[in-house]
Amino acid sequence: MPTPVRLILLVIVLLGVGWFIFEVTSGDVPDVPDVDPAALVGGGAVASGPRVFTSSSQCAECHAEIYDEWKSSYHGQAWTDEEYQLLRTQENSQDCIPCHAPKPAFETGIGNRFLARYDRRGEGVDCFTCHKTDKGMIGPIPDPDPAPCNPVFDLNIRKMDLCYPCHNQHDTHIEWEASSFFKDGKDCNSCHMPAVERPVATGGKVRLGSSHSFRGGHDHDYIRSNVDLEVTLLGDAEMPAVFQGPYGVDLVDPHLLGAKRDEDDDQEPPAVPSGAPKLVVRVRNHGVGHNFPTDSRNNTVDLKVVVLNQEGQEVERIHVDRFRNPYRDEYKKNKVNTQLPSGADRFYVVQLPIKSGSFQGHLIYKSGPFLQDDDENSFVLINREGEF
Amino acid sequence: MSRSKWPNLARVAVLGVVLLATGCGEEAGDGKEISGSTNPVTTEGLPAPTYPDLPKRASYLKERLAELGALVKVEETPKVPELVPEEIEELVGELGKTDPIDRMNGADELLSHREIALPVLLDRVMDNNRYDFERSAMVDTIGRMGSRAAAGTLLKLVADDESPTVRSFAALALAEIGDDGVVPDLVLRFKYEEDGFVINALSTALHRLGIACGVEKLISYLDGRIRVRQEAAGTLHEMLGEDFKYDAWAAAGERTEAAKRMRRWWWQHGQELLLRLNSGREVGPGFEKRIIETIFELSQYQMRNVDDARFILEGLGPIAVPFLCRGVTDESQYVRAHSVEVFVRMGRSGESGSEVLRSSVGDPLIRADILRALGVARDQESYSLLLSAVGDPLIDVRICAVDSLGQLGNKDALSTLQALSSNPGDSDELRVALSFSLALLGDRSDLMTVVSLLDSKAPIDVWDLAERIDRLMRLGAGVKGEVDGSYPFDGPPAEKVKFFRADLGV
Repeated sequence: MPTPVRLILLVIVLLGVGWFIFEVTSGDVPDVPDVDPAALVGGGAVASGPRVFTSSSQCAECHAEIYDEWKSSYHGQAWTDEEYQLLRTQENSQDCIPCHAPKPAFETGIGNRFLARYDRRGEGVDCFTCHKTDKGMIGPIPDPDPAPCNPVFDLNIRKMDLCYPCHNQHDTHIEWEASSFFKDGKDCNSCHMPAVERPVATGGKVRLGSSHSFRGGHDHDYIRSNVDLEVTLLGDAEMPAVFQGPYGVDLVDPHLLGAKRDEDDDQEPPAVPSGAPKLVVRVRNHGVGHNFPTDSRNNTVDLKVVVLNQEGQEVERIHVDRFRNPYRDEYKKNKVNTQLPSGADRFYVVQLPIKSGSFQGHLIYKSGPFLQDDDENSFVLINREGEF
Repeated sequence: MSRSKWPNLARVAVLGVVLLATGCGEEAGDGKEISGSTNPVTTEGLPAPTYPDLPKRASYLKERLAELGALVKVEETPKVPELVPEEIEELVGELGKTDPIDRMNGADELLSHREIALPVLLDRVMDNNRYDFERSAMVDTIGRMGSRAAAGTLLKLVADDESPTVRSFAALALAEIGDDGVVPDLVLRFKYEEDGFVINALSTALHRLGIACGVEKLISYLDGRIRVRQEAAGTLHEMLGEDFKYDAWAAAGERTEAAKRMRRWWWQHGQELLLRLNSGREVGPGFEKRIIETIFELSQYQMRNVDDARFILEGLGPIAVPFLCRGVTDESQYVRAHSVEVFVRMGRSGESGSEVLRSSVGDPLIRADILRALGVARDQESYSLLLSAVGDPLIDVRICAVDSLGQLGNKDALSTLQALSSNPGDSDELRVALSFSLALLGDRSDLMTVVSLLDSKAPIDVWDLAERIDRLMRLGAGVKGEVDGSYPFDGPPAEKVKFFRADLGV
């Protein structure tokens, strides 16, 4: 066969093989018609191409330290948290799922309400919620090193629009906007994702990144460092000076004004002997960038003064106040939002029922409004003691 | 759309050879799995999923709402004249008399002065310092006046008034006026109202406006106080046309048994009955406007508003379906997503929307929920769509397709699901869905394994499990095959799981 003919045949065969491979690889396995690429971000798999990420556990391969922080945070436990599961199963509610097992924010649109996902709910608010986009895994670090997850620099990740679709369901974002933190340019990340210098990926360069432990209301030491309780004995002459608080004064005498907000707590106070001293109690929200405690669903803080006689026996447990934003059904019965705004303090005058003994001032943090003081989910955040 | 001319299996086989030759997609070597996925799914013998094109998105609802806005005249609450005629004041005063005859006569007289009397009554009725019987007489008279201008005040009373008597009378007065535009607001009250008398009044009012609603709540009051249970039984009889031999005056044991019978019957057939009772009702422009407004509430930011809207639409059942069908292709992703979610909650009541749902499955955002909705509606025509969706690359879609295949009850799906259950990947949710769907189709071999997960530390969604258990029982696939009266029909999920565990002996 002449060489030109052979060459022509060879070209025809090669073209045929090329067509064959093209037809096979561009075929419909699997065939997903007209799929919006953003929708595929939600955890699906495609036939070929770069590595597909479908679980946060894959992130641990390179970001072990950050993964561990997240895993032990309440974002990592958003679904598995026992209290959440208990509430959800008791109330048949599906409202909670979008925030406790959300689809990636950039799939539903940053700043928009989240939509619920059906799979991997156990991972809660996972890595993909904030980082996964159709162009790759976004982060706040310029010129990221190449990696299988295709890291992309995108400052959208630092926007509050990621936080408030969930955290403003119970008004935390609005509270923050009303605070001095907002005016001073401090945002959610300033407190809840403080800067950390370390290799972002195992073996990588040391960079300035952010903590992923999302410390907040579940970290009692953290709350203690931002909220204060003072309990002092007070003679009448000293009162005017004390009440010149910098943020205005809310003076409440629970015995005189009946400022009890617990329905169960409607007992008449015992008769007060003449000469029994008074306490001044001050609660201060000096370091929280939103109301304390924020969120209307569960969080409750009770201020109590326990009075003991000289033998150390409890004489009275005075429920001085409750800090809480009432939730839905409660709202009808008690419309007063008693949360302590950022930067505010509140004073109380508490009449002690006996002439001599000791007192304990307790600021008790509760993860539910109906919990007793000694419940395992009630914590004495701050305890102040004294004698009189 | 498919671009290949070759049969699927051949293509998969050739692809396997090519990928092996090029060293890619190691997991795809046997041609059974979608390569590149960390959640591989067996697809052997399944057609590749094909869906219709992405449906065109429209703003029909927005446009229709604008039309209705021009059409429906909002009647504002009339203002009280500065000088109320003495005669009217006297007649209004009659409504505060203790003798009911005086009150009745006063009301009759007021009807002939309705133009002047209505604003006065609407003003006085808001005065909480008056006796309940006086305010109830006022509300009743307002209802008899039949003016739509009173609807706003009456709705406020139904929702917020402290007195259950006044709330009840206000609901009935709204029915008396006959404006069906208040239906969505009345339906929402079932979510928040706790008083048996008011629940009964709400059901009666809605029944008079042509809507069957609140049956479950009424059944729960059959164990209540004598007058409450008597009225609840009467309303139920009127609505359902059946009394289940319930006698409010019978001995406690007999009443409990009859209530159980009714509960069980409702649990099994309620959706079908609501579908029958509420289908084909025409809606007035005011009602239509409120339905569309409610659908737009689905795009609200706060979940509590969304939840209220979902509750109303679910309660309206088939009446809301034509509008929800429009919502499925709406411009707003939230309207789309939550409209489909309402279909999921409606169950059989939403079956008339199945065709639209099937044609909208090309929308990847709502695909999973559409498949789920088709399952709960038991739309047999969606069988092949569901079967192919089992091979979808999106895990959410696979889970919902598997769920719905179980609900459809077509045993042809058994082999596919069994094949998939031999290699479900690492998704707990898919495993659970497979086990329950197989159980619904008669294969319970894996059910115990899944139930035993309840005792593990695995992050199993108990609520989801309870829902599946409920479905299993409802469709007659309970382990004992018979649901007795002790099943917590309306109980919390945890109770259902407890029942199921006891039933299985685990």
